Amino acid sequence: MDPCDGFQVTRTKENTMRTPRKIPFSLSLEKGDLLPTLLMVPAVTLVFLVMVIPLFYGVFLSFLDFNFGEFDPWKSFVGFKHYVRFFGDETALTSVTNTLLFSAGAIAGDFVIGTLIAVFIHSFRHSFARFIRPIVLIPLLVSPIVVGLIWRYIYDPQGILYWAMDNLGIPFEAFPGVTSASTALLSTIIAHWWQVVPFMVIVITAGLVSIPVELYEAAHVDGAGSVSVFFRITLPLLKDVYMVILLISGVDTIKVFDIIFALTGGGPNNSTVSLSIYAYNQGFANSELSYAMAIAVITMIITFVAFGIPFIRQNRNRFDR
Amino acid sequence: MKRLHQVVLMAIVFALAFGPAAWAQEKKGSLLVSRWAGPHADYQKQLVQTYPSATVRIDDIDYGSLKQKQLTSFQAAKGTGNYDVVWVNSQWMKEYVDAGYILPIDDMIKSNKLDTSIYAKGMMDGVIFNGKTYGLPTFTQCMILAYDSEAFAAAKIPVPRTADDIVAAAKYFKEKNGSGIALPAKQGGAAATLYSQLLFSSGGYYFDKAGKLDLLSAPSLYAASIYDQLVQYSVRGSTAWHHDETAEAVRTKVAPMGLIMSGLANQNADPEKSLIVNTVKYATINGKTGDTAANNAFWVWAIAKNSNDVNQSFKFISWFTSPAIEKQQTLANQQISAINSLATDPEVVAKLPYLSVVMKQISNGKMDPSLKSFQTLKDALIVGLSQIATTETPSADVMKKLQDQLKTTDFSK
Repeated sequence: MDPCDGFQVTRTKENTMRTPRKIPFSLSLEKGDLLPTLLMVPAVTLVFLVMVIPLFYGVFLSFLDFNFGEFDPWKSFVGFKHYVRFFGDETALTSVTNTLLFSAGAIAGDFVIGTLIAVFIHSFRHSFARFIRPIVLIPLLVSPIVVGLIWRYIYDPQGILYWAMDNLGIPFEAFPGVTSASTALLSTIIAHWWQVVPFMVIVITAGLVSIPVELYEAAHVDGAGSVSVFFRITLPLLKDVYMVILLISGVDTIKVFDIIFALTGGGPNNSTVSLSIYAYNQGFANSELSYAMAIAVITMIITFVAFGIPFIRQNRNRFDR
Repeated sequence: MKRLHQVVLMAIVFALAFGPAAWAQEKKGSLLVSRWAGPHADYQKQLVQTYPSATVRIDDIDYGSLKQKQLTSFQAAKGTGNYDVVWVNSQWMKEYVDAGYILPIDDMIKSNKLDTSIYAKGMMDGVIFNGKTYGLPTFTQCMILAYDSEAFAAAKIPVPRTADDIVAAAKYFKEKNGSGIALPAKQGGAAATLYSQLLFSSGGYYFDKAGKLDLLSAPSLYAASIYDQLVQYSVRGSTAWHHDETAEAVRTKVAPMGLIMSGLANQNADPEKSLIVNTVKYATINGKTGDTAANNAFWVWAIAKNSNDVNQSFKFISWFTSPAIEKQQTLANQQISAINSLATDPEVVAKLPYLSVVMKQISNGKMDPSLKSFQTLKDALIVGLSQIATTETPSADVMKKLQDQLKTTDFSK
């Protein structure tokens, strides 16, 4: 089989260029497009059934006044009522702000702390790095709800944090943790960092390993210092890795639920109520399922605008290059 | 051939030995019951083994997920592993009844000749909607004052008689040794329950006589102010505590006094968990004038609309809430039932030192309204009380803000 099948090949002295050529769909099972299409059918059907249909059903429900046990789309259709309500709902808008703040704080910390730890470990000898890396990764193995519980005991005023602060002469009021509206969101972000930074360490380490050693050697020959090497070589070459982290961490943090649910339940004074917590409360405490669905759809749109579009643009630019 | 004979013989013996038992098990029927998890559920799991008429399996799950799981189960078709019997919070009853999730049981009460006058009237009233009975009440609880009598005696503080006395005692301990009172001031339902109890004990309610929201009434403003002061003189960390942490702070002597849920008071008598086994005492949480009234809440055994065996489910719930079984439960885990006669049963009274306190509060108690819109008020109260607890905003200003915020809410349904 010719490896250039399907491409019009133009050969010049300087280079070899391939221009895609439109080929009609062939129904031949053996040589045509039918077999690959048929092979894709099960996967596409599965994706359609378990992802696309529930998604559209969720969006559809957000336009109804739906209750468990009742399903009459004609009677309960309310149009954009729940979306209009969302933008007039003070708590909902607070939850948007909190979610974005949580997301920004969490991602910033993930980047900075993850990079510092990854670079730090990477700078060790191979044998020591192999020993220390698994230890750093332990929090990653803990479920988010358990992370919330662990930190609930850490932040308990009779717990280890305040015992240490007392011994260091730092008053409780300097950092009241989850008991005060001023520090509760930061407290949840710190718990998030503890769990998620190890994942960032893995990803960034993979990026660090892929940077050619020759670049560092050349920089050292030219007399560049460590800081200069970090900012001029390491960081620029980790850009693609950071875009992947931004997408994963962004989607993850916008949906944050477990840690906040276990640590603060959204309080004090709604200072940590996130979009997911608010949707959950509306859906299950207040039985406002359609409103909860509308909040979930808005969360999805925010996620797409904040993280999906930049990721798509980055990928497009990369392929254009 | 000989080997084949042996195998056949063994199969016959096996069938004779276990066949009838399996058949009996099948004939006995089975019930799937939904409730929240915890030591109380663990005991009930053992107890239901003694139920003679069916095999009962309790699906106990985290309280936070209970309603969600019940709602999901109500959507299932019969015979698909859905719940037969559900344990329903009295506050959820109206919603469940309106949605048709639980069945009326009047016909079965009549045909089985069940005497419902054995249950406390106030609680029985809470399971009747539109003249129909939708379940059998049990497990009531309310917030009570638990205190270390040794600490009070050393400080020469008398037992608080009014809400102001509780504040004064809390202030004393806060200023003397930095402790204060333990109370559940975390943003959540526990804080709202405490406010309601202070409101009811001061003679107030959420609505005025015309049925309009009245959070600016004198009792309401007083209750909010007492709540504010209690938080001010509370043990460090109370603003992150729910009922469990509050009760733990009292029984581990972190706080010499606390406003705890009566359902957790039994742990004060457990020497493995409590440092106040011999010194703990209980008192009512009183209002401005010394009157007391609980925010009555209890649990209801109800039959799911899609139960596989409605008659068997009824027989089970009537057995489970019968005086003998309720007494057995009370003696084992100190739950307070709806059975009138148990409130004065000497054996029960000796086992539950806080029973008289709870019964006094409950007998004067009021229930939250069974309105769907009440959840809107409760949500707003929860956030408002958290604002009172964690910011400098005066309690009266917060109540005024809540009143304004809810002025357009229709509280007639």
